[in-house]
Amino acid sequence: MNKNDAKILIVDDEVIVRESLKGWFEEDGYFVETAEDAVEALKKLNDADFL
Amino acid sequence: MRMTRLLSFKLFLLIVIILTISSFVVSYFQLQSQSENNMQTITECGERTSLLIKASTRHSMLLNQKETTHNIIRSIAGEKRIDNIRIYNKQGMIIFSANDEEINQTVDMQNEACFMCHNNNGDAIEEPDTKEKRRIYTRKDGTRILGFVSAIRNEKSCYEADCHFHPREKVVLGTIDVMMSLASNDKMLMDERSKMLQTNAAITLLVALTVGAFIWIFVHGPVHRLIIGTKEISSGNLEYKINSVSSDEIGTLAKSFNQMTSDLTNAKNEITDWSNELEERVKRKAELLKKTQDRIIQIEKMASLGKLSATVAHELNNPMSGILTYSKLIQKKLNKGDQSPTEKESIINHLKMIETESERCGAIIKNMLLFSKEQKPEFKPCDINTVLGTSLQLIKHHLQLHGIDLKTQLQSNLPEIYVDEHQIRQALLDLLMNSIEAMEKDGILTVKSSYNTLENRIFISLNDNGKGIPSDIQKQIFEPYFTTKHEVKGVGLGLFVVYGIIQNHNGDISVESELDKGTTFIIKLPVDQKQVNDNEQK
Repeated sequence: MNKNDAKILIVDDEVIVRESLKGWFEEDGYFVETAEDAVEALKKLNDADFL
Repeated sequence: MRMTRLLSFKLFLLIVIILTISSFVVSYFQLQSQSENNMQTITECGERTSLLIKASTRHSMLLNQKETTHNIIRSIAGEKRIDNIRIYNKQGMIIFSANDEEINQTVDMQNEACFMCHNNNGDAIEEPDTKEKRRIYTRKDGTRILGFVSAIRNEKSCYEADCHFHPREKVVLGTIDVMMSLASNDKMLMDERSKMLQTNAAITLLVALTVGAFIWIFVHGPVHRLIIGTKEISSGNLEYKINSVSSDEIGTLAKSFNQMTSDLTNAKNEITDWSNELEERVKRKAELLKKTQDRIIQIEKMASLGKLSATVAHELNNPMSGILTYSKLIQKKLNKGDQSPTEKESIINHLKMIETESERCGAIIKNMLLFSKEQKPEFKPCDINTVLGTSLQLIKHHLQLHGIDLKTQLQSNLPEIYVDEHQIRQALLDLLMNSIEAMEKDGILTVKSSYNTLENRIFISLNDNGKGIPSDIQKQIFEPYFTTKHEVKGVGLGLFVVYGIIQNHNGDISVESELDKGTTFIIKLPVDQKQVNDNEQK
């Protein structure tokens, strides 16, 4: 699987954890999305971008 | 004290009265006796004069020479002390008198000198003895007269005389009445009496003064000093000593009194020493207790910290992992070589994030250190809402971990109160941790603060919807070593420490609880207690 095709969703209530990991994976060339809690995560998973 | 109520005065008065009465009684009887003696002498003098007259006139009488008889009587009556001389016949007629005008006058037989020998009918009765033959009367000019009457008895030479004037059968021929003036006697007695009165008065005065002085010096003075002494002692001056040099009963009493006061002083000093000693011991014990309590509070604080450690670890772990990731990311970016301006800006942003999060970690650690640090009790004015806020801050993560919902109803603009912020925070933390432990899923913790104007106190209430406290142990929960947590969770000092802290602040703590419904702790802290705690600081 191509790195550009892989999409990562990071869910954590701590902004530092989300943002640092997002920076790390973006540096590796992944498409990264973040969510603060389960509700937001589910919403984003249902989004067109992830499908 | 009024003079008349003094014992000395009563004693003095009694002595003076007795002395006066007795001296006057003695004088009276003395004068009476003297007067009686004088009368006796004068009476005897009268008797002798009568005998003298009888003897000297006998010859002229027998010769019936009336003029000669008269002359004799006149010359005898010329004597200064003799007032008058009369000779009566049987019918009471004055036949001879030194006073010529009286001659041939008849006297009343019922009166005058006749009653001594004649009864009311004029009949002769038996002749009385010398003393009863005298009579004393007062003449119109005020001079007292003593009259002495004696009978002239018939004898052989009388009825055989040539004149045949007196018949043989007569027993008594007439009466001689010698009247002696008592003027000089009375004057002498009067002089005597006044002299005696003066002497009595002088002696009485002298004795009274002597007795008075004696009583004043030897009784009143010492007794007065005793009274002053007792008053001084009763007013608390135990140093007072009675100055007494006499060796009599009062002196002995004063010495005993001084002994008593010195004993009393010793006893008092002993008691004072003991009470000082006790006070000192109590003070030392109180200090020890205070230190122990401070130690217990500190231990309890460390225990709370231990309970919070998991939360703290979690709290620190998040920023730390973020910091770690950013550090690795920056390394990775820098290893790639030359950076575009966009990438440089991104790295600076990452570093800024590291900075912020490191500061956050530092703040958490600082907060923990501040809390765990042993603090000297210090009362300062503070806002209770701030204390509540910092306490809730400490357990914020703990609440989140346990899934407990926090509700706060803090009344704004509460008056500042004098408290030891660290102790109050510890107490609140203990209660909050207890509440969290009591709650399971869907826990709601409600924290309220309010000001009660009527009681002038601040009320803090901590309510949970946990399992509650059985009513039979509600009264015991503040006792030391009482615990329901049979596991290793606690030693049972938590609520005891809370109770001690609230007591230190002159406050009250109470609990309301219902099984399976929840528990409410209510703390009431006085607003106006600056004074109390300032005293305690000393």
